[in-house]
Amino acid sequence: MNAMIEINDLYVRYGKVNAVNGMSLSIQVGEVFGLLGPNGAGKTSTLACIQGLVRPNGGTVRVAGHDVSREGMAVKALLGVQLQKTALFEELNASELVELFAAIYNVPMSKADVAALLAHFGLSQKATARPTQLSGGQQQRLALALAVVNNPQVVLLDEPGTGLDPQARRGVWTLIRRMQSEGRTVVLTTHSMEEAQELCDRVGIVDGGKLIALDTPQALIARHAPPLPPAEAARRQPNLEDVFLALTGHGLGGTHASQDDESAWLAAVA
Amino acid sequence: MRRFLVLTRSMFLMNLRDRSTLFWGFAFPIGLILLYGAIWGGATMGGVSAITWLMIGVVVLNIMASGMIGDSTWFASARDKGQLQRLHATPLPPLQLIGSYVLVRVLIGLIQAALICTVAMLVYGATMSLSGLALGFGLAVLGLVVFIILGQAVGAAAPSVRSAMAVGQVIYFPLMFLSNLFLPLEALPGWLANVSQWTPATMLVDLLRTALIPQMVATQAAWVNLLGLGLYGLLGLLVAVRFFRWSPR
Ligand SMILES: Nc1ncnc2c1ncn2[C@@H]1O[C@H](COP(=O)(O)OP(=O)(O)OP(=O)(O)O)[C@@H](O)[C@H]1O
Ligand SMILES: [Mg+2]
Repeated sequence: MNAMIEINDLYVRYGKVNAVNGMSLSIQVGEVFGLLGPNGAGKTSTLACIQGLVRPNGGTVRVAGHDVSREGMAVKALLGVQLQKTALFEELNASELVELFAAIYNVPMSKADVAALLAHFGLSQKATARPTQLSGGQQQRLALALAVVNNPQVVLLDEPGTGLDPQARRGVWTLIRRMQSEGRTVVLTTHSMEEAQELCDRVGIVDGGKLIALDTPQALIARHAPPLPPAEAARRQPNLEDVFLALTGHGLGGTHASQDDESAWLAAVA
Repeated sequence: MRRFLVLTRSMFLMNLRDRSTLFWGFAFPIGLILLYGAIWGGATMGGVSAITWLMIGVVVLNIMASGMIGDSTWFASARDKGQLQRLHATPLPPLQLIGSYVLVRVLIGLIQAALICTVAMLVYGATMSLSGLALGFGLAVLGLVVFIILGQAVGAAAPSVRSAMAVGQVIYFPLMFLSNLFLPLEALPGWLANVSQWTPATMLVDLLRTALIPQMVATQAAWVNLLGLGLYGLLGLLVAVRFFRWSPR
C-alpha cells in the first residue's frame, strides 16, 4: 500500500500545552481514516499541521511526498478542507462561495458546473441562500462541497458529523462515502465511536496528543475491548467506546447510556 | 489573474452587501453634507466658500471612518470568525488577498468621495478646480491607503473585534473634531491646534484642499504633510504585520 500522508514524530505546543505529543502515523491512499478522541485530544492540531495552518514544534508531515513545511502551497493545492468551525463569508450566497473557492484553486467552473456541484451535495434549492440562511446540516454540506471544488486527492474533515441531527449526520456520512468512492483519501476527526465505526477503514485513537491505538474498528474491538458483563452482553456488542475506556481509563465524553455501569463494572473486576 | 478578479468581485459584493458599509460609508456622509449645506450653504470658512471647504472635510472624514471603523474590524472579524483561517487553508497567496482587499476598499472610498462631491456641488454649488482633480485623485488614493493600513494596525493589535471597534472609535471621534475637517484649527485653543496639526486627517485634508481649491492657503508645507502621512502609513504597516494572525486566538 502507498502512504498518502506520513506523520513522523509530530509535536505541537501552544505555550505550556502539549497539544500533539510525539504522533507518528501513516494514512494510505484511498482509505477513510478516523482520528477518534475526546475534546482536547489534539485532533484539530494534528490536522492543522497537515493543512499547513500550524507549524509543528517538532517532527515532519508529508502529503503525497511533499513536505508540508517546505512545500506548503503545493500541499494546500492537493487538499480539500472542512474546518471544525464552518466559517464562510456571510455576505456571499452558496453559488458565489463555490465560484470564489473554485477561482482560488484556479479551477475553471461554469455556472452549470457550480449548479451540478451544489446538486451533488443536495443544495440545488439553496444556490442563492447565504450561509446564515442554511440549516446546520445544509451548512455542513456546503462546507463539504467547498472541500471538493478543487477535486482534491485528500480531504480533511474536522468533525463533519458533530452537531447534526441523526438524519443530517447520515446524509453527511453518505457524502463522505461518496468522496471515497471518487478515489479520494479521507481523513476525519470525530468523538463519536458510532461515526468512527460506521465510516472508517482504520481508526487512530488519540488521547493527550498521543496515538494510543491504530487499526480497523473490528481489530481494535477484538484486541482491546474487555469482555462485557453478562447482563450487557445480552443487550449489545462491544464497541470502540469500550476500547477507548479500556485503553485510557476514561470515556470519550459522549452520551453512551451504559458508560456508568461499565465503569462500575470495571472498578469491580479490577 | 482570474483568481484575482473573482476574489476582487467577491470582496466588492461583500462590501456592498454589508449594512454598516452602506450606512457609515454612504448614507452617513451624504446626510452630513446635506445637513452642513443646509446650515452653512452660503457662509465662508477658512477664507473660501463654506460648502466647498466642508465638502473636502466630509471626504476626509469618510476616508478616516472607512479606515478606523470599517477596516479596523473587517479583517479582525474575518479572523475571529475563522473565515481567514479557511482562506489560509487554500493555496491563495496572501499578497493577492491583501491586494484585492486594498483595491476594493480604495475603489469604494473613491466612489463615496465622488458621491459626496457630486451632492455638494449639485445641491449647494460647491466648486473644485478641474486642474487639481488628478492631484486630488492621487491624494485621495494615498489617504485611503494610509487609513486602510492604520485600520489594519488597530484590527491586528486589538485582541478582539469588539476592542478593535472600540479603539477605532476612540481614535476616530476626537480626530473628527480635531483635524480641521469641520471645525477650523483657529477655533481650537492654541496648544490643541498645535497637536492637531500632526494628525493624519489634518495632513490629508490640508493637501486635498490646497489641491482642489485654488485660493486655499495651506496650513503647512505639502512635503511635511506627505512625509507625515508616509510615516503614519509605515508605522501602521509595522504594527499590522507584527500582530497579524490568521486564526482566532
Ligand atoms: N490556538 C490555541 N492556543 C492555545 N491552546 C490551544 C490552541 N488550539 C488548541 N489548543 C489546546 O491544545 C489542545 C488540543 O486541542 P485540539 O483543538 O487539537 O483538540 P481536539 O482533539 O481537536 O479537540 P475537540 O474535540 O474539542 O475539537 C487542547 O488542550 C487545546 O486547549
Ligand atoms: Mg477539534
